[in-house]
Parts: sequence; C-alpha cells; structure tokens
Amino acid sequence: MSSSLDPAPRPRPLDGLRVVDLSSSVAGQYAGRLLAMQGADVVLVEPAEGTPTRRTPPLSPDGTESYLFRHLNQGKRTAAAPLAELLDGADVVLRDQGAPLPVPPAATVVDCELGDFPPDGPYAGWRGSEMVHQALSGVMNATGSVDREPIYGLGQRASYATGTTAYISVLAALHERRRSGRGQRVRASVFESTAAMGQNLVSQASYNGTEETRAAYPGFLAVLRCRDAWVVLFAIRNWPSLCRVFGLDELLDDPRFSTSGDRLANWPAVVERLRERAAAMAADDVVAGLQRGRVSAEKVTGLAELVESEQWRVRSMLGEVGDPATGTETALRRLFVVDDADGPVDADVPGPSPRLPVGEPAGSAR
Amino acid sequence: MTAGPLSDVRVLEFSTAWAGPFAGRCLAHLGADVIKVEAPSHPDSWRGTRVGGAPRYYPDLDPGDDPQNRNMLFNSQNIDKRSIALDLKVPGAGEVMRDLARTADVVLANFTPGVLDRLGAGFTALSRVNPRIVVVEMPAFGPGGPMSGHQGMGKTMEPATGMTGLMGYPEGTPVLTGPALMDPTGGLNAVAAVLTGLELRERTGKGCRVEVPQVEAAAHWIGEYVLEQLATGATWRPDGNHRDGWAPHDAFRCRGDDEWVAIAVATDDQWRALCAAMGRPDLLDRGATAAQRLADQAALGAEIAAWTADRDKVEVAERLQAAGVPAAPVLGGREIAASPAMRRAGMIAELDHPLVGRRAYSALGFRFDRTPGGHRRAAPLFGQHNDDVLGGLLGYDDARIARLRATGVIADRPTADTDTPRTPAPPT
Repeated sequence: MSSSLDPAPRPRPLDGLRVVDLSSSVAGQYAGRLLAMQGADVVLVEPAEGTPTRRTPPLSPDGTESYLFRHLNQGKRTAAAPLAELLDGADVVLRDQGAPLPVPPAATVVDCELGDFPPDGPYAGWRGSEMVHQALSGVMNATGSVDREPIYGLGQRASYATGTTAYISVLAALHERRRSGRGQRVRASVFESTAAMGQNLVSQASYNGTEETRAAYPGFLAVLRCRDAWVVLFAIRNWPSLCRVFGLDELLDDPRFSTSGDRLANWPAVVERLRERAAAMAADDVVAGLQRGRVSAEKVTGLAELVESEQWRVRSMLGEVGDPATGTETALRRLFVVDDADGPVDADVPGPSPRLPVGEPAGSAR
Repeated sequence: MTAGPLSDVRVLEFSTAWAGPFAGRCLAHLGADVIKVEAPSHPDSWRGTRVGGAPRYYPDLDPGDDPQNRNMLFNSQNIDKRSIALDLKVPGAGEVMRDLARTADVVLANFTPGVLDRLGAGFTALSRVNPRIVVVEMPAFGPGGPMSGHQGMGKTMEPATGMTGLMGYPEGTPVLTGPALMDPTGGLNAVAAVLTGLELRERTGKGCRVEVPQVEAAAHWIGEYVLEQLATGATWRPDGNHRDGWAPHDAFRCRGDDEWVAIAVATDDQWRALCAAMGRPDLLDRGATAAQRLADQAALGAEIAAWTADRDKVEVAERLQAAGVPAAPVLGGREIAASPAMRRAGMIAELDHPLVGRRAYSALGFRFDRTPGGHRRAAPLFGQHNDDVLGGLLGYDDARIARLRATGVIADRPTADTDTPRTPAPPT
C-alpha cells in the first residue's frame, strides 16, 4: 500500500532484506509480519495442509478462515521455489525452536528460533499457552479481583510480545552483521519475553520481600461505572481537576487529601466518592472533563465502537490491501509512522495474506 | 560478558515512568550506550518523591534519606544507563544538547507530543546538527484525532486500545492487566521503531523521525479480533478465563490461601490425559469432543476444582504437564524471584548499587549466541554521570563544567518532586 503523498519510490526501512518464515507459531509469524511491513520480502513456507494458525480461532462463521492467520501473515508471499533455493538467498530465517533446516544456514544468515520455553531449562518439556505463560509471568496473579479467580487476559498477547522481541533481535543482529560480516543464531521464547514484561516483581521481592497481588493496586487508579459505560482513570496529578469534574470541590479542603501522600493513603475513600457521582454521569463527559484538566482517563470501549470511531478514521487505522481483481483484505495499518527529511516513508502492510497453494506446495518443508 | 549487537549505538533517552525507560533499558541490554537525560525540576516520575514515599518501593521498606535514588521502580527500569541532569530551559543548555546530539545515533522520548520540539530537541532541530539522528517519539496517541491530546497512562491506554472490552469477568466488570501491560508493550514497540529507523538510515544515509503511538501500535496485539469485528460485526465477549477453541480453560483453586493452577485443554487427547491424571475415567465421555466440553464447561470445571482443591498448585501443574496437558501454577512475585527457571533462563540479574546494595532485577528476553549483551550495571544515581558525559564524551574542561553547574544548566540533585505537571493545563 503506497502512500498517495509519496509518488516516487523511496527506500523502505527493510528494502532488500530476504526472509524465509518457516515458523508455525503466533510469535514467529508475527515477527515475519513486522519484517514484511517494513519492506522485507517475506516468504511463508507451510506444510501441505497449511500452517496451524490457519485453523486457530477466531474463525470466519463458516469455519474456513482464521482471522488470526490473516493478521499474522498479511504482506507475506507464499513459497514458489524449493526450500533449499529459498534458504540460499536468505538474510533471515524464522523457525520453530528445534525444527531442523534441510541445509545448515550460511554464515551470514540471522537464524531466529522461536519457542515457548528455553530449550535447556526446567520447563523445556512443558506445553505453553497464553494462560500458562501469564500464570508463570506473575501478571495473572495480579489481574482480577482478590475474592475471585485470577484472570489470564485475552488472545495471544504473550506471543505478540515474543514476536516483537524476535523482530528486535533480528534487526539488532543484522545491524551487527554490518560490522562483523557474520550472521548468528538468535532466540526468543514466550517464557522469557513475558517475564521481561513483569516489570518489578523480582526487584520488589529483592528490595523488601513484598509483592503485588489482586488485593489492591498501589496507585491513583479508579474504575468507575458511569451511567452508560465504564471509565478507567489514573489521577497521578491534577487533583483539583479530578474533584471539579465530579463536583467534589469540598474534597479540596479536606485534610485527608492535602498532599499526594495523603491522597494515596486515603485513596479508597476518594474512589468511593467518585463512584457515587459517576453513576449519574455520562462516560464521554467524564473522560472529556478529566482530559481537559490533564487527568488521564479513558472509556472502556468495545471494538464495534472503536472501529467506527472518529479517532480510528482520522488516524487511518484500517486499510484495504491486495488487488481488487484477486481479492482484497482489510488490514490494521502501520505500527509506527516514519518520516525523514524527504517526507513520509512507507511503513505499511504491503499486501494480503497468502492463499494456500492448490496441490503440493513447492516450498513445503515439513 | 560479550558486548551486545548495538555496541556502536549511542542513545539519548528523555523519558519517564515505565514505557520509555523500559525501551531505553532494552537498548542498553542490546549493548547501546544509553544516556538518560533528566530535568532537575522534572526528574523521572518513577524516582518518586524527595521525602517519604510508599514503603513498598524502597529497600527494606525504608525510603531513607535519599528516596529518589533508592526507588525500586526507577532502579528496575534504568539499568545500564548513564545519567545526566540537564535543564533544557536554562540558557546555555541548548548548546550542550546540540553537542550531545552530534555524538548520538538515537533520541528516544515519551513526552506528550510537542514537548520535545519546544525543548529544542525535536527531529527538525537536531537533524540540523546531526543529519543522521534517528528520533523516536512514543506518544499515547498519534496526532489529529479527538483523542490525540489525551494524557495516556499504562492503565488507561489498555481500555483505549479495545483490549479491556475483550477481557474480564462475564458480568462485565472491567479487569485491567496486572501492573499495566501497555507500558512494556509500548516500550517494546518503541525499541522496534528504533531498530527500524536505524535500518532505514543505512539505506538512505539520513536520519529519520519515527512516531510510535502506543495505543495504535498495541492494537496489532489484538489484530485478529479487529479483523473478526470488521468481517462479522461481532467479536469475543469477555467470559472470565474461558476462551474460544479451548475447554476447560480456567484457573482452579488449590491448597493454601489464594493459590491457583491454570489448566488449558485444547484437544481431545489432552482431555483424556486430564481425566486419567485426576483418576476420573467417568468424565471421559462427558467431554469427549470440544463441543461437549465447551457446552458443559461449568460442570466439568467444578469437577476439576474438586480435584485441585486439596492439592499443591506446583504439583498439579507438573503432573499435568508430564501427562501432556498445558497447565501452570499461578505464581506471585516472590515465587518468580525465587524461581529456578527464571535463574536458569538468565532472567534475573544481580547488580550492585551504591545506595541500595546488591539486589536482584528482572532481565530481558533478547538472546544472541555470538553477541549476547545483557545487564551489567545498576541504575544510575540522579546526575551521576554529569562529569563523565560532559568531560569524557563531550570534552568540556573543568572550568566549563563548573560554569554549567553554577548556572543551573546541570544539577546534581532533583529540585522537585515528581508529580508536578510537566506542562501547564490548557484553557478549558
């Protein structure tokens, strides 16, 4: 998808990079998609029956198409040459941890392995899933209400974190290759990538032996049911704005809330008052008022509303990719916006997801 | 330890709290020389207050005399960086900034849009002194839309992405993810942007500006639901731990106080293995197919809960994993800090810090067989590397550094707490 602002072809960030994506996981295929979005030529190699993500929910109502597969693989090509030939010219290989290659990669190749767990640790033989990883990461233990079961989250976010980790590692290895002339093996696991996002769990235990749970969040957080929707606010600053939006000016003179430290200590009392007021207010009004007063707040918005929203329209979050003659797909567009001194740089999804070739695919490896 | 792959890259980091500092820490782990630039009047908010502070953020629950250099939050996210305290609003600071930019490859900032430009540290200004500079900004939202001026925090960005509407208990009470998943998500996406910008520079010979709107970038992590919504007009409705295509899929209470095991059955084989492990062949037929298990998930879950209730969560998980069933203990922070798997994976770094001593920190998930990189030095004290950077890197002599100190261009102590507004409120 080239930008209408950019008539002349201009370099894209990863122009000229050749990638063979042999991975079957969400993490591996998302790493491949990120490479494709920035201009790499990414070939997806699948077994004859198709890669497992083609059968992973969410599926189309007739069960024939996976929206997950589509999202992970837009912008990739399907294999049109034998695997050995593809590997011969490759800069980057993405593959499942431990999956063999038919020929050893060339010394210049960045060979990226992706798996659930490190191959030599105590979990090496374990089976991963989004919930398994969030349970081990500490995130699940701190998600939900203390009087109910912990909540794992949604979807495949641990794997998306891993795919992003792999993308970063691959580009860092390519950067280093310019100095050394050599590729290397890089590895990303869902276990490590998810643990890395756990923030201060380890240091908090080390500093003072405490830990965060679902019992209480130690910050200026409130989740409020307004008349028509839920609002999440985080009032780290601008206390007067918060009071005024909810018509609680009397709290400004209340000695329990004089300083930031006082407010933190007595925060449950604040939330109680906010709850009473919020119930009669419209969520959009609450968010608009708080944001005018520089207090961070957002409405809990469903995707039905979001995809139709003015924000998404103005920001061109969605686009059609592909050739109308052979079929187009809707895609989430760029991950980030790149400009240089000559103007905008294309960093968008370049095309639809590959169709499964009819008959024996030439590049089939497994 | 062998240097990381980015050992020839220098980064100037202007960022606060979690997402931006996490990104800078990733770059440092990858080998980059990351110089954190803080304003004395606006230190990184995760340094906390000058006096006091919530005890849980400090060594042995004691904020001590110098809490802004002892805060566990700051010290977790700023590992391996150098710190200089530069007040860009003081005359004379602009020249220092330009000299720094001449030596740098990357500027990384997580300010509200426009702040970097107003400080004279935006792409246009810096590319005049260094045409190869890559400037990465990571606002909550991109410009132009009705939400573009919104203040974003990890906790509020999650509902804005649409994620919160997809998770939680079935009756609709929203649930937010852990301490805040959006911060490290935005941080990882910003690191991806830095590497992408450096690759573009190799192809054009010129620097660039990369803007990573954190909420927009995070939408890719629920892309499959966005596409489903667009194609069918509907998508997943939150239902606790239940999940499309998996059943049973839930957390089950175990022996002890608030102890749980997560069990995720995806296939018929896994169901048979679970029934065998529980010694409940009578349940086999009730869940023989995925459709049966989905339809009867509540009742089957009650049977599993009865089995786990008096058992240890780790033993249950190990037994089920040995039988081929995806399962895991729901771990808390102390358990993770003590976990042999974390240590074996290199996910815990023990580092010496002059004010808090030797402490353990979470490491990162980048793995290279030839250029491993890694965490080497604890987080810097505020302004710890003022002389090192100005003298050693920029070549300023002692008299010049003394003048900068005397005029307040650089400082050795923060001059404010951290919850003051960074920008004045606009007229309402």
